[in-house]
Amino acid sequence: MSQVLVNGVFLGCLFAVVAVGLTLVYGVMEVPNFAHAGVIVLSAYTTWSASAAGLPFALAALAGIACGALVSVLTEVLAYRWIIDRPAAAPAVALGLMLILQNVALRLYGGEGRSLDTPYDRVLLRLGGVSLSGVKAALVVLAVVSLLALHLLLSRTSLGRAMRAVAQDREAAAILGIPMRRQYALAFLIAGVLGGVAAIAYAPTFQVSPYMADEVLLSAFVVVVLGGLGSVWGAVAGGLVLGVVEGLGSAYLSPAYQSAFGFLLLVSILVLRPGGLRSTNARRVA
Amino acid sequence: MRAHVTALGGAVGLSVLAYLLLTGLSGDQGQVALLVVVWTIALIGLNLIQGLGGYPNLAHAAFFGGGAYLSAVLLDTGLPMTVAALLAVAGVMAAGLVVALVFSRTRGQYFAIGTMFFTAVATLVFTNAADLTGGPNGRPVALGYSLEATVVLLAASVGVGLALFHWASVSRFGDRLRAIRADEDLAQHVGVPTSRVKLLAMVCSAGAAAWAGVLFGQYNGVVAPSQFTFGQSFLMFVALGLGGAGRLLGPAVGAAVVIGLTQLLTLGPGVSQIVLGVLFILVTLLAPEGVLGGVSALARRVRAARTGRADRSVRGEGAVA
Repeated sequence: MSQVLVNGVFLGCLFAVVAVGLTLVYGVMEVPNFAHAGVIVLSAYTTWSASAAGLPFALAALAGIACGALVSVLTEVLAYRWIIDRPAAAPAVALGLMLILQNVALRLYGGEGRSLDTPYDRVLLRLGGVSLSGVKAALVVLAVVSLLALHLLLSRTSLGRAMRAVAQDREAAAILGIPMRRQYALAFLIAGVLGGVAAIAYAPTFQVSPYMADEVLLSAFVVVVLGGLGSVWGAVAGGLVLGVVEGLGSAYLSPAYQSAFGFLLLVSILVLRPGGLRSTNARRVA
Repeated sequence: MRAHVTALGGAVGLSVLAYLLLTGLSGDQGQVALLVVVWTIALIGLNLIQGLGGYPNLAHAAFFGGGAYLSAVLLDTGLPMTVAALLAVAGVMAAGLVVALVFSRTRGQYFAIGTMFFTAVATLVFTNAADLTGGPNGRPVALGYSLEATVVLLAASVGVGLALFHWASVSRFGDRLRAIRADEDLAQHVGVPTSRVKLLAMVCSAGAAAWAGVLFGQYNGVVAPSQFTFGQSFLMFVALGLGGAGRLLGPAVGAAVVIGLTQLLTLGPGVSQIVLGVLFILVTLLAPEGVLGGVSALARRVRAARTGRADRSVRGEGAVA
C-alpha cells in the first residue's frame, strides 16, 4: 500500500511540474498550451543527444532545460502573441504548434525510442518496505526544488507580483504600466524551464520518443482543471491527488487503463464541482 | 431560393464526384479517395457542433472509431448488416449524449481538453479490450455490404449529409448554434435553450462520425486503434478549420487538403504534418474563416472593386459557398 502511495506521489510530482507550466501560461494568456508536449519532447531529445555526444549528464540536462525554455518562448513570440485578442483561435494555434514540434522531433531523431542514461540509474533507495529508484527520487527532488523556486519568484519578487497581477486582470495590469509582452514571454520562459525539468526528470523512467509527453500532457490538463485556473498551488494539490488516484487505480484495478482513472476523476469533478477542487475567483472554468 | 439551389447542386455534384473517384481510382489512390470521402462525411457532422456551434470537439475520432468497431462486433453476432449499422450508430449517439451531458458544462478550451481525454480513453479501450477489438493490431471487419453497395452508400452519404447540413444550417437550429458561438451567455439570456441545442448538435455530430466509421470499416475490411487516436481527432479539427468551419463545403475542402497532404506527399516521416501545422497556423492567423472563407472574402473584394462599392448583401451568399 505505501509502495503504491509512493508511486502515486512520484506521478503526482511529474503532473504538478507540467501542470504548473500550463496553468501559468493559461493564467496570463488564456492559451491551452498543447504545444507544451512538444517542448518537453524537444528538451528530452536535446538532453539525450548532448549526453550521447559525451557531455556530462549535468551539462546535458542544462542544455535540455535551455532548449525547452527557448522553444517555449519561440512559440509565444512566433505564434501565440498574434492571437492575444482572439482567444477562440488559441486551441487551433496550440494544436498546430504541437503538430509542428512533435514532427520536428520525429524528423530530427526518428521514431524509435531512445533510452536516456543518468548517473543515478542504478541507485535504489529503500526505506522500510518501500523502494524508490534513484530516477524517481531525483524527479521528486527536482519537482519540489523547482516548485519552491517558482513560489519564491511569484511571491517575493516584483516580477512575480507583476505576473500575478496580469493573471488576475490583464487590462488593469496594463493600465498600471506593467509591460505585458515581457510578462507573456516570462510566463512561457518559466513554463519552458519547468517542461525541461519534467523532461530530464522523467525521460529516464520511460524512453525518449516524439510521443512521450502525450499522456503526461493529458493528465496535466486534468490537473489544471482539478486545481482551478491560474492557481499554482491548486495545480500542485491537483497533481498529487491525480497521481495517487492513477497510482491506486493502476495497482489495484488495471495498469493498462492508468490514464482512464484520471478521466473518471475529471468527469466526476466536472459533474460534482464544476469550479474545480480549489477554484480561484479570478476566472470561470465552466 | 438561389442559395438553396446552389447548395443542393453542390451536394449532388460532390456526391457524383465522390462516386466517380471511388470507382475510378484504385490502389493507393483509391485508398486516398476513400479517406477523403469518409472524412467528408465525418466532418459534416463535426461542422454542426464545431463549425456552427463553435465548440472545439476533439472526441470525433473516438465516435468515428466507435462506429467502425461497434458495427464489426455486432456483425460477428450474426445480425444483418443494416441492423448492425443502425445499432452501432445509435450506440455511438448514446455515447455522444453522455459526453455532451458531462462536457457541455465546460466552455471552449475546457471542452477541447475534456473531449480530447475522452478520445484518449476510447483509444485505450480499443487497444486493451482485445477479445472484442483484436487489441493493438486491430481486427478484420466481416463483409456486410457488397463493395458496390458500400461505394454507392459512401457517395450518397456525402450528398445526403450536405443537404441535411444545409437544411440544419438555415433552420432555427442553425441560427441558435450560431448564436451560441457568438455569445453563449447572451444567447441564453435572450431565450435560446443552449444546453438542449448543444446536446442535439453533439449527438447528431457523433451519429455522422459513427456512420462514416461503419462505412470505413466496410470498405477497408480491417480496423485498428491507431486509426482512431486523439492525433486523428486533432487532424479532423484542423481539417475543418482549414476548410472553413461552418461553411457547407468546408468539410470536403478540409478533408481533401489534410488527407492529400498526409497521404500523397511523400516527403519523409513527419514533414507533411509539419507543413500541415504551419499551414493551419497561417490560415488561423490570416484567414480565420478557413480557405473557403478567405476565397469568398477575396471574391467579395474583387467584386466590390469592380462595381466600385462595398456590397454588403453578398455576405449571405458567402456563408453558403
